[in-house]
Amino acid sequence: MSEKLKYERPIITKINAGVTDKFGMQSKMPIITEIDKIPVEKLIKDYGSPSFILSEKTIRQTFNNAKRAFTTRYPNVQFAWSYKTNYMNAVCRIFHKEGSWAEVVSGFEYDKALKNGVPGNKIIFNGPDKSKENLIKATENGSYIHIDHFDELYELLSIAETTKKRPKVAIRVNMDTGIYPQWDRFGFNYENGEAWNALNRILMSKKLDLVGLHTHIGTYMMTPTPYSVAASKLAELAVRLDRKFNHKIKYIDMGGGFASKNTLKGAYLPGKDTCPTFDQYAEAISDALINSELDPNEMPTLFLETGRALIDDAGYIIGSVLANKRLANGRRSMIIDTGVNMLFTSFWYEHEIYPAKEFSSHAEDTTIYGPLCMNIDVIRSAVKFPLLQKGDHYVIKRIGAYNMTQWMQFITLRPKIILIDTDNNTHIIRENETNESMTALEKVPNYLN
Amino acid sequence: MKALPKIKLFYSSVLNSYSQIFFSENKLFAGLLLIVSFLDFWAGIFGLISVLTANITANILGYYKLSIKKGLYGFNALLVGLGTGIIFKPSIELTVVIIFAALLTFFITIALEGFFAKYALPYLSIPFLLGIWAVILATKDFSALGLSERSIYTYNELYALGGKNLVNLYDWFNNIQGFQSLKIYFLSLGAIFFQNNILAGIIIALGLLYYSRIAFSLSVIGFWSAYFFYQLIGADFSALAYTFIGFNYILTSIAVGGYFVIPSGKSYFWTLILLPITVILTASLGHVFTVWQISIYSLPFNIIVLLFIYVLKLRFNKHNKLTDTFTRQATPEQNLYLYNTAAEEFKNKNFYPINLPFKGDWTVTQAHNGKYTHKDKWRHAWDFVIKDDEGKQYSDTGDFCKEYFCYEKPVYAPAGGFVSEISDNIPDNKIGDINTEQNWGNSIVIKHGEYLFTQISHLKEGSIKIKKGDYVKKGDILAKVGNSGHSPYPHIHFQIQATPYIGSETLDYPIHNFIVKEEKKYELIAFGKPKKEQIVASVTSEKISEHALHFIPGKKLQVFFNEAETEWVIQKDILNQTYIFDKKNKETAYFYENDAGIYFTNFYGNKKSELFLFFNALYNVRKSFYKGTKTTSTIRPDLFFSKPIMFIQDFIAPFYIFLKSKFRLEYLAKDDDFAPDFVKLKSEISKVIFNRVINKMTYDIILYKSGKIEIRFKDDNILSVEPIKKPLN
Repeated sequence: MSEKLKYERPIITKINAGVTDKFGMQSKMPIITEIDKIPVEKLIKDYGSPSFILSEKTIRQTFNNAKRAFTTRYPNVQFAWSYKTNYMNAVCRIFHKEGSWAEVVSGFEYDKALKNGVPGNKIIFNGPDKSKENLIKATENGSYIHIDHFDELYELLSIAETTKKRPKVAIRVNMDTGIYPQWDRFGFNYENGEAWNALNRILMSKKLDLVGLHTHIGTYMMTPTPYSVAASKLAELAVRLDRKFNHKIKYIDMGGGFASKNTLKGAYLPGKDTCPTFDQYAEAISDALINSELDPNEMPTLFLETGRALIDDAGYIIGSVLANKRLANGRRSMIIDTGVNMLFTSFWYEHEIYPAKEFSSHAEDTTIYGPLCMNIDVIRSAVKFPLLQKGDHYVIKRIGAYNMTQWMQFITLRPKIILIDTDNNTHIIRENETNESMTALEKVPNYLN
Repeated sequence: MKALPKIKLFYSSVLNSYSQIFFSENKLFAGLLLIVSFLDFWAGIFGLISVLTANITANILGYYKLSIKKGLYGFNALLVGLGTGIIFKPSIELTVVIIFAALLTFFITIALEGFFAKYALPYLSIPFLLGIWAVILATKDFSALGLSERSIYTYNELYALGGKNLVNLYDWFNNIQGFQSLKIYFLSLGAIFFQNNILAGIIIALGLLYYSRIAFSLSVIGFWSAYFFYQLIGADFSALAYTFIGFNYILTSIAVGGYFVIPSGKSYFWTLILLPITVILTASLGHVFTVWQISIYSLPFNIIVLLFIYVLKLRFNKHNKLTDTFTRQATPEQNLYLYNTAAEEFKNKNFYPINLPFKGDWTVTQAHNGKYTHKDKWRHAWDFVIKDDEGKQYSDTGDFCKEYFCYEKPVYAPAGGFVSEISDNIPDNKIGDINTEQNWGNSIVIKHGEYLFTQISHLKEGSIKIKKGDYVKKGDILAKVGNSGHSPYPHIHFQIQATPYIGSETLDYPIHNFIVKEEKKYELIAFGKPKKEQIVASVTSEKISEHALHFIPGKKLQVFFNEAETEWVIQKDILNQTYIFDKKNKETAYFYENDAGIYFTNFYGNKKSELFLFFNALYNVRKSFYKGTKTTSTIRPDLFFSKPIMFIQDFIAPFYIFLKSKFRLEYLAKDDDFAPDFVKLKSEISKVIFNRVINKMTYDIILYKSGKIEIRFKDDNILSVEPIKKPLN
């Protein structure tokens, strides 16, 4: 007895006679039925809809790809996990186990890193906001402090008088690498001599240990060339320091900003075809450093703080369709249970969304909305999508970066985060919020009781 | 005050001139030989006069002091003096002739030293031969010299020496039946000093036994194998008793079996092969020389030994057990222990350091004698690829070169050298396809030295950044990995070869300083050959170790040991061997340093000294740091075991060594992985008899950023060694 065919509602599609356009014939949308061999169906049944899923296997694979791209080109390379990208403790610990240090940008992240077992001397402290207490603590712990502005430098100089240890510092340098917009709000500018000025002051003061140079040229860099410009400029600073002060820095930190394979809004071609690979970034940076005037026998360690490109691919959201709806102009719309409150990145990306089971090849131009009662809650404004019914499941790919840190509790509660380990066992790494957990911090004045 | 070293030089040079005849610098042995030479008083006197003439002349003319001290310029003159002095009656005229003969011999010595040095060969006793022939032939016209009758009347001499008792003893010994060959053995030994009596032979044999067990046993083996060969071919062996040539077999045996070749089963075997040849040569040369009525003396020994050493030197592949010694130690035993038990690194010292041509972790897919293409003349080659944790070489489907992890990765110069050949116009194959027409694909050949080239193949078209004739430094980027030539998927083919062509025959040659990674366990290899499926990477060095263990000649070290304070200085000798020298206590610790680490090779002096402790604790230390790795090596046993037990070991040492001293080092910790202030190591020396550990000693070592080395052992004894910084002027 053959299986009963699944019902799909009828649609009307315009027939395009003549030759196909340059994108070829319409192709069937791929489906994602399982993540790391666990059926989406089962995940939703066990952990609810929607849920965040993280694949440890993908994290480790991606990390090793990135590491391989650099270590096969440059003698000494060290990664530092960018906490703000995804600071779920489990995620951080996977990266630390792979040998990553921690790169933090606030006192909160700093403490989180310590609690994750990262020794103080393996933490890089970035960002414009470091309190005096933060700086003292980082100094005593032997962490690497990346100075962002002169006021911070002055504060560190005064702190250095009192601390037992000498602060280990680097400066963040911003520069023209030929890209727009130029990120000049962080660190000291290279072209106008501010960076050189800061370096001179640090070395003249003799109070701080200048160990490195740091830059972070931008985000979602779609071409590797600016990195080679940046690396050359930092190398030049390092060479000048060596010549003037006979001082050799220990590392050059190229920051992050490597693009993942997501498609930016407004992009003409999909990100997975246009974004550079780790190899391309690695080649740009390594070549620039190796071809610089740096002493080949004492090459500084290359630090990388890439976050997004390492974690984006490992994250998925799985969920269910809430309703289908026809808009006033006849356009089809679909409401799903993932909203912009938990998928913050949908403001930047055309996220890839796939059905979680087989559908016919027929698809309709669809707007996908989230469940929030807010007009901005749009996940995809236009996508050719198969004809899912209420209750059918979907998978949103490449959401590992920034969503689990920039999400917000708005209108509804945030779901569970599940980690699938390398043996394909599932673990809850963050419970779903409840009314109790959400209101735990709230206080109601007595007179309202 | 200044006279003291001169007296010492004088005294050493005289004594060593005697012992040097047996390749020895042992003072007691030399003393015995000196006494033996005086068994014939006048011969002894003339011998000594010759030695003095040669050594004083060498000193006045300004030859290398160490060679004078070692007696290298004296022993040939000594032999001429003895040989002439024994034939003629003592007289003023004879003294004059002998002084001039010694001078002539000395000049010949210097000339031959210069001549043979080009071939790295010794001049042995050829100066003596030329000298004594010249004198003997000339004296036929010197009517003022009268022939001596001394050695003909043995009893008279014995009586003069030891009275009736000695004569009786001599008679008793001579009359024992069946010891004919033993008597000739002693006579032959005595004949080396032109003494035709058994007593001289016995004293020399005892001295030889004291100096070296191996040399002694070789003298026995050499003599009796010649004896049996005489029996076999039916020659008259007893003739050796009065012809002064039996010693040729003894000296040949010692030279080939243990002095110029590391003593081993193989060297003993070759000794046995060479002796019949020496016998044949002796017989035939004897007939030739009767024409001039002169003795062949040590001519067969000289010919055979020089021939064999030269033959050994011209071998293409020298890495089997039959190893010719380059720098020779005081005894064959030391040669053997040093060679056999010194660290692997020291043994491999003569290899040119060739590193892996890449950075990061690569997997060997084909090693020597590979399954696919590394066969026959091309069998000593390696193929490398990059694999991920799951053992895959590519991402996605692996249908395109780009998906392979190793594709387009940079290739680095494995060692410095001139680029001798390049091909760079062969396109990459599609995956699975191979180009059989241009087998090697795009390749680079670099010349590192004479008959030493490396070849890297299957590179990406147009990626080669160097030109033919360029000089590349170790670690320079050369090109990118491609998929050209006989290459179904991207990989690096790496081989070492002796000729400058692409596709030359390969050479079985090791790679320097790499690590083998297994499940987070690292094995450090100083010189080795990666095996199939191994994950290998070049070693990155640790700055602290590199700094603290960098001992360049001239560097001075301040040493503190439980309040006491001394100073060490790094020096080097004429053979460019570096050593740490304790000025005050005159101790010397020889070491060898390269990119990979520091290896001590030898120690002379007080075994209770600070320097010996330092030698023990840091016997073999790498300049890299991989936490938890352990390295082991063995130290020569004669530095650790007592003389009586070593005496037994020495006899069988060429075949089996049951006394061992093992060194083990563990790379413990750093205070900070990235910017450390110190590195902690722990070393251990254990004494082993027949695989049973009988004694252990551990040392906790800390290397500091400042270059200071601290060694703690046994209840908080601390030895600290700090470099002395020169104040800036």
